[in-house]
Amino acid sequence: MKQILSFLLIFFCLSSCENGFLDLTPESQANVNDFYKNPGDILNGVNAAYASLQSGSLYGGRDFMDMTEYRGDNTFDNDPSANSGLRYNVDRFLAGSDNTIFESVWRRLYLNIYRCNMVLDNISNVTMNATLSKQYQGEVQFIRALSYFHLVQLWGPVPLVLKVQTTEESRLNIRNSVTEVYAAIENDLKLAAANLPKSYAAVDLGRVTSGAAKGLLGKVYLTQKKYNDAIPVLREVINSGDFQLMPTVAEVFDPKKEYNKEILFAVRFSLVNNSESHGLYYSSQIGDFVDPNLRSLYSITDTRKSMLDLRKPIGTQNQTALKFFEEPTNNVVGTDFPVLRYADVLLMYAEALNEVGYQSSGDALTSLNTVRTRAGAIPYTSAELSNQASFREAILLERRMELPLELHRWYDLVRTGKAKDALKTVGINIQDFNLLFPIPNSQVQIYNNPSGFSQNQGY
Amino acid sequence: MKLIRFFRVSKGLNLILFFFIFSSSMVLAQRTISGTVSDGNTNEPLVGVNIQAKGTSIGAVTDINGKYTLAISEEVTVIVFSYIGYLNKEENIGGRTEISVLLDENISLFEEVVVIGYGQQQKKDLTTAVSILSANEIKNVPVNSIDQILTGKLAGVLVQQTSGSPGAGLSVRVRGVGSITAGNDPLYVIDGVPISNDNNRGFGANNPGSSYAEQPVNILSTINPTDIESIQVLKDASAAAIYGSRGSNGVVIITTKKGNSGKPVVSYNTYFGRQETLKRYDMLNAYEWSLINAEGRNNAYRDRFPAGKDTDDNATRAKNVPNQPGILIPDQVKPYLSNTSGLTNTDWQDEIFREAPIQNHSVSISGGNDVVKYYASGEYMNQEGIVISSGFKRYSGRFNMDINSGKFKAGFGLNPTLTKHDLVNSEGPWFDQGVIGLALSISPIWPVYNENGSYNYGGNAWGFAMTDFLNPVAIANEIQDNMDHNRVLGNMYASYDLLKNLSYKMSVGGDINNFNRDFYRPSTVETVGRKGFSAPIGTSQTRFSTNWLVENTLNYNTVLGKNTFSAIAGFSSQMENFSSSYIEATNYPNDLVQTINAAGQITAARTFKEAWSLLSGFGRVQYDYANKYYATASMRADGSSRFGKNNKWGYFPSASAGWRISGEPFMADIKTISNLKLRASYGITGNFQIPNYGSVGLLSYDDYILGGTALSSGLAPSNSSNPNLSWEKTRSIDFGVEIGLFQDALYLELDYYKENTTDLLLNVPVPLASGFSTELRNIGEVENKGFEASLTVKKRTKDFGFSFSANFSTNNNKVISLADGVPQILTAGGTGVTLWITKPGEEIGSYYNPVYDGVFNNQAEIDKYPRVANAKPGDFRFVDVNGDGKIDFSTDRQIQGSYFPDFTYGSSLNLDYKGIDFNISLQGSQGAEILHLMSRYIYNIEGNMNLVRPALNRWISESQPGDGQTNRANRLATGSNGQTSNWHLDDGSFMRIRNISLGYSLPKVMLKKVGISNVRAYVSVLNPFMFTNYIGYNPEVNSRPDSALNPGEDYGSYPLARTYTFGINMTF
Repeated sequence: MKQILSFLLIFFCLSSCENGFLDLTPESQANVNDFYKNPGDILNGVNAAYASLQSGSLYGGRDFMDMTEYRGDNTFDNDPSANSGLRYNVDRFLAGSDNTIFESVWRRLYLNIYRCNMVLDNISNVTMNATLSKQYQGEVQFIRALSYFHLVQLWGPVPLVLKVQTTEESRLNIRNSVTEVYAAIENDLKLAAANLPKSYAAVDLGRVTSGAAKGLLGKVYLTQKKYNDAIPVLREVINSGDFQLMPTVAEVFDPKKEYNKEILFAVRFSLVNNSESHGLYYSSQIGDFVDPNLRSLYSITDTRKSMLDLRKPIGTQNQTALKFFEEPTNNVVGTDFPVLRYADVLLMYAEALNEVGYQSSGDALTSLNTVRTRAGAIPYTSAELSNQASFREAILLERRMELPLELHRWYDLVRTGKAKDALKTVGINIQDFNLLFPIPNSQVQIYNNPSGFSQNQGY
Repeated sequence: MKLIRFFRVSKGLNLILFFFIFSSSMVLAQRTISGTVSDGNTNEPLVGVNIQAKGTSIGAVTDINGKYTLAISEEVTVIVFSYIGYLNKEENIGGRTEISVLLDENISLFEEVVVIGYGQQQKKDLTTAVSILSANEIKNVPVNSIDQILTGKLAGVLVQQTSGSPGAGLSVRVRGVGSITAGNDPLYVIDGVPISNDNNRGFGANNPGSSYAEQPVNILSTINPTDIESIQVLKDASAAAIYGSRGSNGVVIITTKKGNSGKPVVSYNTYFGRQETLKRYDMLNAYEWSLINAEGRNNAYRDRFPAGKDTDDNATRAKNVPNQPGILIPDQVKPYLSNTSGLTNTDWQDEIFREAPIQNHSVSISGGNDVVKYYASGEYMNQEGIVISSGFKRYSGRFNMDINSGKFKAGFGLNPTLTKHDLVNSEGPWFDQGVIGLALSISPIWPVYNENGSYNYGGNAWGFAMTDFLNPVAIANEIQDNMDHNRVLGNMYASYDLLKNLSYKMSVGGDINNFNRDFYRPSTVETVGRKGFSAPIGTSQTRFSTNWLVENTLNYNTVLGKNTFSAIAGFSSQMENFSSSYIEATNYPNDLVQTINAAGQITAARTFKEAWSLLSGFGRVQYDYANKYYATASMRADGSSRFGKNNKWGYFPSASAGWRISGEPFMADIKTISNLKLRASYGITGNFQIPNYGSVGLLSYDDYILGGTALSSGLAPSNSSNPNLSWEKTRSIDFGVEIGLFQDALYLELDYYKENTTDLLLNVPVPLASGFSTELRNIGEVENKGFEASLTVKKRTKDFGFSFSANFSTNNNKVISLADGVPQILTAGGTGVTLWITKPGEEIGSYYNPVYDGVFNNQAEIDKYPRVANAKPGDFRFVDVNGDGKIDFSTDRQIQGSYFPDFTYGSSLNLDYKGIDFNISLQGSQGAEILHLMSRYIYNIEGNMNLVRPALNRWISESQPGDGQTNRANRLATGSNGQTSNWHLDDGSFMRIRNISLGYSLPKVMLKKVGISNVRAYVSVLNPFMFTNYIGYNPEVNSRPDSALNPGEDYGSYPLARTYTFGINMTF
């Protein structure tokens, strides 16, 4: 009996002495508990916020283009059959709140914001160089502001999340007013402009600069029609001398001259490995995706016209515009996507000045003509743009010709109140409610809060 | 500490201690008994019969001449003779020293020995629901994998062959689907070692370079079916609760053959077969297809330019509708329209399918003496797939040895295997370069080869807004994709009788798996959408896993008068470690050397490690009184590394009781009823198939490019932490009746069960504004309830044997609740617009799509009906489900059935007369719906992809409306006909003759002279017929067998094979 008891004792001990046997931590994946402890972790967190912009739902793919470029009058999706018209329906204003493109873009923008919040919430707990800390904060403040700027333009009132939330907290979110969202965007960009350096060493080329933050702030003011705020901040960018127009438009998009002097901010890609690359932008099999009216706007000497010429990669039936063309390797390319460039800044500056007060000659006309001259178009004379309205029209037209396919057109049409007219000319009749997109159906259902989180009117 | 707490709460263990104290052993005088054991029918001596002194562990075994000698104490009054396949016989010793007996062959299931978790029991003593498949039912059907044997044989065990690919997994579901996101595979226990399911994905990844998951690798495909002695399925929670947190999907216990004492017995089994496709699609030929191609383009043209004529040439069309190649008639199609004869007319199905041989050789030798017994076997199997360039080979060996030396027993089993998979991407849709999807989609006007012998890629980058299709024959033949799977599965045990009634056993198990997969896509296979040579891609992957198990058990048995007690208690620890690696490379100078070393650039490289551990304590007591009243209780405690910090340990109790009414005196007069038993059970089991680190917030790399090419590491949380994460729990009750009539010649077993799974592991949708789309939580409840019946009829005379068995099962699946705030889960499948719904009151993963209702015949019909914006005559009419006067596909949806069948059934008949044996078995399923997503392409009447024959019934004009159900041809479709709806749903009911075989055994008298004891030759046809209305290859298809939320999708699948086999079984 004794033997048995002592045997049992050993037996239990053998089993229960295996302390830690059940506490396995992931060996090949870092986990949250050990992270955001040192400056290196913070840097990784910041880089992930940039990386989020490369997503196929944003600058790395088609979904974002469907919402910001195809929605306008510059480009068309000609394939009602593909994926039951998933993209075609967005282009033709047929898509409802269940269209997965809307959710895909919404999700990714909030993921950017989450990654930025993660850095901002944790950075104060890490001992590090103060300048570097400011830079990191500035970088994610910019990315957060850019994300909210898209959200508020696409959907209007959206939940304003400026701290990391638990899922329980998150369920209590409501759609904050457009004013609140813009206030947060402005605040972020002002801080970013103050926190960020003017430039970086070559290895860090691509990080947000103070100039980029100011440029975006200018655009945020302009969109809110705060022209008097927009003018000084855009002027600062212009006077800084940090940016300039490339000699030709082609050079701006030359894959060999990426992140050139004209770029304030671009989302960077590379062929160095597959996850850093993207498919050919605007690749289309069926028909010409560019509006013929747009092509006919350019004069013969205008070098921007050829940027819209269709090009086929060798041996394919896909075609894309020269602006974003690079011969792909295994169907992917590594070209950057420009988010904000100097020509845009000049045109925004001209627009803001004109809105404050028409001047027959001066900075506004000079800025506009600088852009035209570079492209080989004939500069406007004061006589041609003899009043505020005609100048306003000329600017919008110029933006259309200078920036097509760069995801500005839908925003420009909404900002200037021209969306309905513009779409009518291409045979699409829209109503006021169409100026905002439907909130993804899944989100309306999850919040299940008709007073605090309702669907946009008309959907 | 947790273990000690378990020890305190476990009554079972205390009970064992109680028995220790009151048991004692005494030394008594010995006597010797000897005799011969023979077959009651033939009088031939039986080899390897067990003779045991009743109530002790002392025993002996008959030798080659059927003789035995047994030394026992004088206390023993009864000895028991037992032999597999024969009825046990008890003899009162009295004063005899020689006892010779005749044993009768057992035709009754009732006496059968059933292997249950950590022990065995006679079927008559069972109080839980266990399905049994014995060697007899296995031996006459030539199959290449264990789970194929199970198909249609057992009530409540649904085995679905979701793919015909050689070596691919079958889906095995015991009593429905209880889990939404965790696994639904049962636990497999091979010779006492619970096998991990984690290897069933092979690489747990997609086909290289593809986004579509491949079909799982079958983890049982390494086992040689001829090595199997028996298979038992523990179905109810009470039976499975001894496996605790792994028991809720049922437990499949596989026992391999052991040696018998006597002179060596050598068996040789072989078969040769030919396989062919069981069913094919009826596709259009090149001329028919061209007609629809042109019609679709004419319609698209006139939609845009109403004045246009079908006869307008391409130049006119391009002028009238610029920049729209979808309205032009492709040059290559024109000759077909003028009916020029003798043009290329490729049947692509003929090109990718073949008649494929299969062969199998297996040799075994078994034997031994009273002390040592052995069984050894070797097997070679070579199965070529019915899709060209696919195949599966297996080399397997097994060595089982058992030692029985008085109080000491030991043994081991070792099973090394090498399987070689020659893989072809067959399951994926055409856009993922799945060869079957491509073969169905690509136009029949293209030849397979050019005149110079190279592959024709006319379907790629064709122009004219034709979708790009690569040549499927080129993909199958030229892409090299080979996977080797090396496995060593082994177990070892030693036991010692500490006291008369108490034994201690220690066992160790191991399962080592090594996968190696090399993939190469040569430059000669074009890239989708690009003519000419492609940039080759090579990948190399490895995966290595080790799983070890240590188990210590104490076993106690005693008989006190009419009371029989047995108890077991034990501890086990198990751990599995995985490591994997992946390298992807490109820039090969040419296709000569295809391994990674020849590549100029590595484009991806990673390694990965993972592990899980499980620590368990368990106990069970069984009691019966006079073979009439039975009670069993068990308890298991599992601690797992997978569970969250706050929930490391789970407890799984169970209880069951049985009443053998036929044992009562009042039944003694009713001779017809030989057996009647009622049983009831209740238990809690768990499902441990959750992610290894699901409770931990993990970070994922998301890198960025700075400075041009410098990769800057980014890290961000990819899931939220949940320290409360726990296993899913299933509470189940089961009521069963077993009735045996006419000495059990007719045996009926009925079961009713109800299983409620709670704490479902679910990726609950959370507001995207939180930074995540879902969070893994334990919520909700699913119920499965059902009814099972199985019937066996057996009759045996000297020359004639007859046995018939049939089974029938129903299972009703219902979601009871989901998380608060989650009214329903909508899941997309192969396309974003195809939805499944999971919501309370409905089956998991019900189809949830718009309702199609014929086609509009004219504009007047369209005008008075809600419709999608651009609907035209000939387009689909969709039902305005919510009656708001407009068609909105986000709300106008309806639940339209599910992949779950209403009922399933199986039946088999065995006849033998003298040397001739005949077997036929069938299997069926009724009421399942299949989402034939392939219709989206091969039934869309765009004239773009090739079409199934019913497409000819399309709407052509108001006066030629076709069958009124099929939309008009249109390359640039209007009316959202492509929206997944019930148009794509198809009835998956089927009845399949599983097997027909006819065998002949040569007369033994004749063979004895040449030293052969048995020769049987047979012919058999596996899957000879299938009766179904399903449009596709296989009505059991499931593109994602691992996912419960969106089952039943057919997006291109590997067809089932019909196999003609000739085989010989020989025993020496």
